[in-house]
Amino acid sequence: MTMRPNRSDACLFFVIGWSLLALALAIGLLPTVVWVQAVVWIPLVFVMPGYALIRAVLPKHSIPLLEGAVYTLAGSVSIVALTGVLLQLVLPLDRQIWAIAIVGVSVIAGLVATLRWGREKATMLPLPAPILRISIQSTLTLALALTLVIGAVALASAGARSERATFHFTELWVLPVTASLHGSLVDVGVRNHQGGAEAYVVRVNQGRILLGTSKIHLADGQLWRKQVACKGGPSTKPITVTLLHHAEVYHYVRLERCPTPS
Amino acid sequence: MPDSVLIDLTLARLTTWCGRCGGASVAKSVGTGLSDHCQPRHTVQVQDSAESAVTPGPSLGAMPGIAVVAAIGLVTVAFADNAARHDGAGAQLLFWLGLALIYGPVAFRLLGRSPRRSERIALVLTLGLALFLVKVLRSPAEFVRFDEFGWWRATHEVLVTGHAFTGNQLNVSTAGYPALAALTAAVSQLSGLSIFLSGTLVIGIARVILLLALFLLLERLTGSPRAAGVGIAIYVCNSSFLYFDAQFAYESLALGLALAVLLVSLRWSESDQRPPASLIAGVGPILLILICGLTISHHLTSLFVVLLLALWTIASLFQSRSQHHADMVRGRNGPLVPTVLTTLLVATWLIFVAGPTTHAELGAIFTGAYQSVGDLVLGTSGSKHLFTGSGRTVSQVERAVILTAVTLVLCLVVAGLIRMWRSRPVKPLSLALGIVAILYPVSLGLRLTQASSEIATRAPAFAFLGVALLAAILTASLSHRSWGTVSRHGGKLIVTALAITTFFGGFMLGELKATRQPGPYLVGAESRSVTPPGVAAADFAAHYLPTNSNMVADRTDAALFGSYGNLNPIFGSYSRISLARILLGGEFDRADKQALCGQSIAFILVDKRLSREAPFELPLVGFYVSSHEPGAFVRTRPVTLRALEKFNSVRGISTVYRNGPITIYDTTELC
Repeated sequence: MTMRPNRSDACLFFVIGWSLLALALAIGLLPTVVWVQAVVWIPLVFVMPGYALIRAVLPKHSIPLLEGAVYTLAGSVSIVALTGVLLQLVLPLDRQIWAIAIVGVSVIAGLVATLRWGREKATMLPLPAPILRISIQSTLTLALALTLVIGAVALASAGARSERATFHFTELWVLPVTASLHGSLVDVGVRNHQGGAEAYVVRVNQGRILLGTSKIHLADGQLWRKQVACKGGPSTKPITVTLLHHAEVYHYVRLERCPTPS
Repeated sequence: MPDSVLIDLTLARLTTWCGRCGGASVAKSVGTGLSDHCQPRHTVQVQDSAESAVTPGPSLGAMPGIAVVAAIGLVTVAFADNAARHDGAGAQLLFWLGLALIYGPVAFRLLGRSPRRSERIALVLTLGLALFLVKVLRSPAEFVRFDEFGWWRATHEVLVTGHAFTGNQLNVSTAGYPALAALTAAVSQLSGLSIFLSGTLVIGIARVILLLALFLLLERLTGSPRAAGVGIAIYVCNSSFLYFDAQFAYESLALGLALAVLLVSLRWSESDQRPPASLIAGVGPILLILICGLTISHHLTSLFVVLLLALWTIASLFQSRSQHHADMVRGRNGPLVPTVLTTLLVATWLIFVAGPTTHAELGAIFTGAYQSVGDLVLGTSGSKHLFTGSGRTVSQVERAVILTAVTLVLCLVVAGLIRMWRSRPVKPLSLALGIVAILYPVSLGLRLTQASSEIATRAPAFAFLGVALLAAILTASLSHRSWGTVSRHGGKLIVTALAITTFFGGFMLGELKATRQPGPYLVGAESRSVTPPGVAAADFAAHYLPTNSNMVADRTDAALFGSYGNLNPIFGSYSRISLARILLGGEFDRADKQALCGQSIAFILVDKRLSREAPFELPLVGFYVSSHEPGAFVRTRPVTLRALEKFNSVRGISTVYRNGPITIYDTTELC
């Protein structure tokens, strides 16, 4: 029977160290890049709080590995959710608050675990057996499976994009400008979703009076906006905006009357 | 050897306190990473049942190869979905082939005797995650289901306001059960990922928790990893597993937490520490945290766990009275503490925090179901027409598959209950889950009425926990000789084929044919009605219209505008005037104006495609706006274009936005 020496738990220190790194990232001490944030924070949200909790309350190897994994994941999910629900009673949740709270829970639990079980007497336990043996062949096969999965997701994403690209339309709107220092104004907007560059003519009428005509060229996805002043201030005459595309009326929108500026 | 003796021998190999270890037999650990020596604290080691002899160590066995096949299945599904987007021929066949490639090899391997425990666990995870990815592949860039939009909005509110407990009209319960929104907001804010990616990740993790916890639970109850693996293969056959319980919604999260609560409750109950001071300091905090997490996640799931724990406790009390079974429960803590704790927390939350809207929502569901079933039984109303709806009929092939699947599951339930009866005494939790399995045939009956279909959709996720256990018990009870005979005569292939049929049938039962895959726009077809013009219009609303303005729209556009658009869709009625008639009525009259003004509705959204006549289309789900609208489920003609365009000529209503199919009317000047 091998005597296990009394030693610090590297895993717990890893948890504490990782948590502090994540906190530094969250509060801006380190440069922020999305993928780095994701890599650092996802384990911290889904693994570390639960792991630290289990280590704080149970001695090492007192429950099977798989059961510990369940409690780690479920515990982390519960801790993060509960932390947020409780914190938002007193503080609005933002990135820094989340970071401090989750790191705080993980670090405190980790320190409790280290202090509580670090002085554990050497036991008669043999070192645990290796958890899993994965051959090189299995590793390569799993890598192939993962590659295929990524390919499937990429394929589906490309398909979704191509489906979206089959929808060709143009948006047209007219909205009253309520807070204006320049009299009664309306806000006219056009956005092109035709899949390519297009030319339009925008005609704005107040009753039978033409307020303005604009010839516009928009790239795919591009937005055009213009504020148009009503003639003679607030009026009961409707404001009509007509969008011409290929010399034909494509859309029209209508405001019942010109708005009264506030 | 009688099965009950076999179960007792398996239990006898569980080692706990050192005080017992001195005289107890030594249990070999297989793939658990534990020593084969007794532990100083409460430890449960599980040994494979007889089929797995002493093995040199854990390995993945054939799992990597099967994972490649499953991945090929996913690629096939992706091809199938892409073909379906353009209504391509063969899309459906390819889709079912992909599912078979994912499910079949895993089920076949799990049925075998040779895989080690570690391989079975890896296979279970492969199956569960691959099936989760089937749902992701269906819509890889955005949420498309109604409930998902509600939770998107709830998460967005947490991100914008910094506070949880904000409800929305798409899902009123978001106000009382904020766990999913809070957790997803945390992931999104900390990682920088979008709400869609963060939510997908959260549900993926919940799926892993569910599968691992269920595997361990079944393994502990049957003493057999093989039985546990087979149980999982049966569990995934439930009609809500593939899509409904994989969506970004609170039940998907809560199911995983529920299984974790059951697992830790089992650990608590099987511990024999008395007085339980160390237990309270050890497992106690884990139990408390998980119960709290479950409590704030989902009302129905937490109520189900309360019910299950109560059944378990009652079964334990009955068994402990019997001298005959005293050795099974002597010195054990039992499930009373987890039951009381869960009941107190869930009840407190439901009464004091979840609020009247949740009570109203749950009350309406159960009251409606009760009334409709009562009407059906008394003959005052007819049943829903099965396999038909909105002018569409399920094909003969699909009917056959569904009926076969249902029959197989019913047979499994009956056989499992008989086996459980013959094997008594059984563990109290097994007895409780056996009772839960009876929910399955009950849920089938609930599909006969429209109002109770809501419960019938959700019940399988819970009922199949019991069905999975019964399948596991049957598997564990098969002797080596019997199984050898079955395997030699191609029995494994036949059982796998039946399992695939059950899996297909379950999915067909739970998901409309038109929504299983993406495809061209359909009227009132949930995910099939989410299109770029609707999304663009919602985006316009978010940028240019006043936030939280009340609006009326059809169901799908209401979901888009209630989430991405930051508006407030209003359903239901005002002074007994159905709000749906504003949209669908032939004329805009005084009653419509009264309802508009009474509900302070600022915007009406009209999608001209609802009136499509070529091809002739009724809403797939049976209604345009809500299930209570006039003509819901009985309509024979689509709404007319004239009715939808009536607002063009109403004085006081402005047409502020158009993009082709979508028009937004501003009614603020009307009142």
